[in-house]
Amino acid sequence: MKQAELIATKLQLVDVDITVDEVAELITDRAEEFSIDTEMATPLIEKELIAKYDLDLNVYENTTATEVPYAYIEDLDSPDEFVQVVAIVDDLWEEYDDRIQQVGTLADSTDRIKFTVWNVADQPLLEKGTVYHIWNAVVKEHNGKLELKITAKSDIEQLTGENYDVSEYVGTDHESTPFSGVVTRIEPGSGLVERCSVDDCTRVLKNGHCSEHGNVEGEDDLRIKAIVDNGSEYRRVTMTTEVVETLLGYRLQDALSHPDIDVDEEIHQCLVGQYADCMLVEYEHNNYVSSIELNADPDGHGIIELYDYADELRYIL
Amino acid sequence: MTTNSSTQTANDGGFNYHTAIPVLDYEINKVSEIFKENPESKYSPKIAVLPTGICTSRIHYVGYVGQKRLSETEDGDTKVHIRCTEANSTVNIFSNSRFSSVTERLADVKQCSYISVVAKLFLTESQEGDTLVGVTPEVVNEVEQPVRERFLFTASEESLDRITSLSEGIETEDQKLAADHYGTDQLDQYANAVQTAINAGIKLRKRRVKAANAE
Repeated sequence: MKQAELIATKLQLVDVDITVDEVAELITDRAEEFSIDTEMATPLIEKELIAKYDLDLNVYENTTATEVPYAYIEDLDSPDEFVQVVAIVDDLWEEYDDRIQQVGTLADSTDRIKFTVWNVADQPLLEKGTVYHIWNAVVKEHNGKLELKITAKSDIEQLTGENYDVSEYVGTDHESTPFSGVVTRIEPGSGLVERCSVDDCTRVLKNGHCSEHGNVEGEDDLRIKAIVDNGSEYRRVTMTTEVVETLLGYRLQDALSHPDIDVDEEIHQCLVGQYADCMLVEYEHNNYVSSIELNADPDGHGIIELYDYADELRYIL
Repeated sequence: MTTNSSTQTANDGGFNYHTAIPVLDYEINKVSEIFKENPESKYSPKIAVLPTGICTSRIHYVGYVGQKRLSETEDGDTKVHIRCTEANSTVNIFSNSRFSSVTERLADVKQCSYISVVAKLFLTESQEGDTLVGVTPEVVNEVEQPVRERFLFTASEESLDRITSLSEGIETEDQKLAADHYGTDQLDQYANAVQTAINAGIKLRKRRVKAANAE
């Protein structure tokens, strides 16, 4: 009996020692007693159990969240499904609709997804770079793409770094790997680019032309393709909008509305010849930069060890 | 002949990319063997044999701009010569008229700043008739002091790896070329130079941290 299972699970979560069978038996007994079907008997039993164990209704109701499946973002594929996710607020966008409280992207270790919080949801403001456990968010499809809607029914708990390794959520993949080296080259096709506006096609246009869809309207974007080289190996890397915006310190919209900004020159000054410590995610033979730190201070202990080793070597040779 | 035996090269995206080896000033100035990978091809890269046992067509170097001199070629092009001054030596950086945008950047470099270059090496003659190692940047950027510090440590670490490997025996084609041309009896001098570089890096770092704390 599915209802019995749900109630038992919820009660167990608030530390009530009860089994599914016990709940099922109570429901069946009550149904027989009042000559009603089990579906009608279920809420009665639920209320009785809440009273019997003197449960705080708010606490008990919040456990409904556990009914919805925990999902990784990359697995979200069913519109109108309620889910729970643990994710970092990866980006917050400027909201153009007065009815929207917040819009941006959430990321977990598998992927990113757009999220929206409407004003009517009456939810607290989410902070960029913070990890949240969100229950009862609903998956919606908009223009063929999935997004996550946080509603009045959703519950949000902020997780602190003590409980969770925040950095785990900054990447877009479990498989992200570190790579450090010097940025030796910015490749053509970096800076302000136009992408194909046809649904699900994000190809960069060349003179307004998409290799797949021909002449189309372009959507502005910022990206960097570069080579990071450590002297023995190199990676050809791609930085997408969010990473480029963080590096340059301004948004795509700002770059577009200020034609005097020389984006290419700023990319050069910011990256070329600098040491970059990157986290890379390999996807379809491209190395995407999920995070980047420039010119990090070298490790002091390592330097002393290096000096001692050079000293030793000098005498051996 | 196989070169770059311990570094990654690849022909992807339609062009060859050879990794840039970080090299300290002392070793740059000791280079005296540069050859064309394929003597018959006009576009074949020139390969520098580094004394610590590696061959490369590209180096990475970060230095302090001690002097900058602008002049004009016979064709009216700007020529830039930058002397990066080190504790005991100087690295000579020259513009190449083939790379006009790099020449412009070199011309704009401020004196007493740090520059990071990815460059080719070539041999030339000084006014006194001595052989001089020239560094021709393919890319250049003005950078902050911590980049120089990290370069000194990174290049030192890489140099020590090469010195250790060469001192343990000749195993690669690159090491054989280096040993044949330069010998291996002066490797202690290179280890000594590495120590000088690490010292310079530590001093720079200390000064920077002290200044930051004082603020």
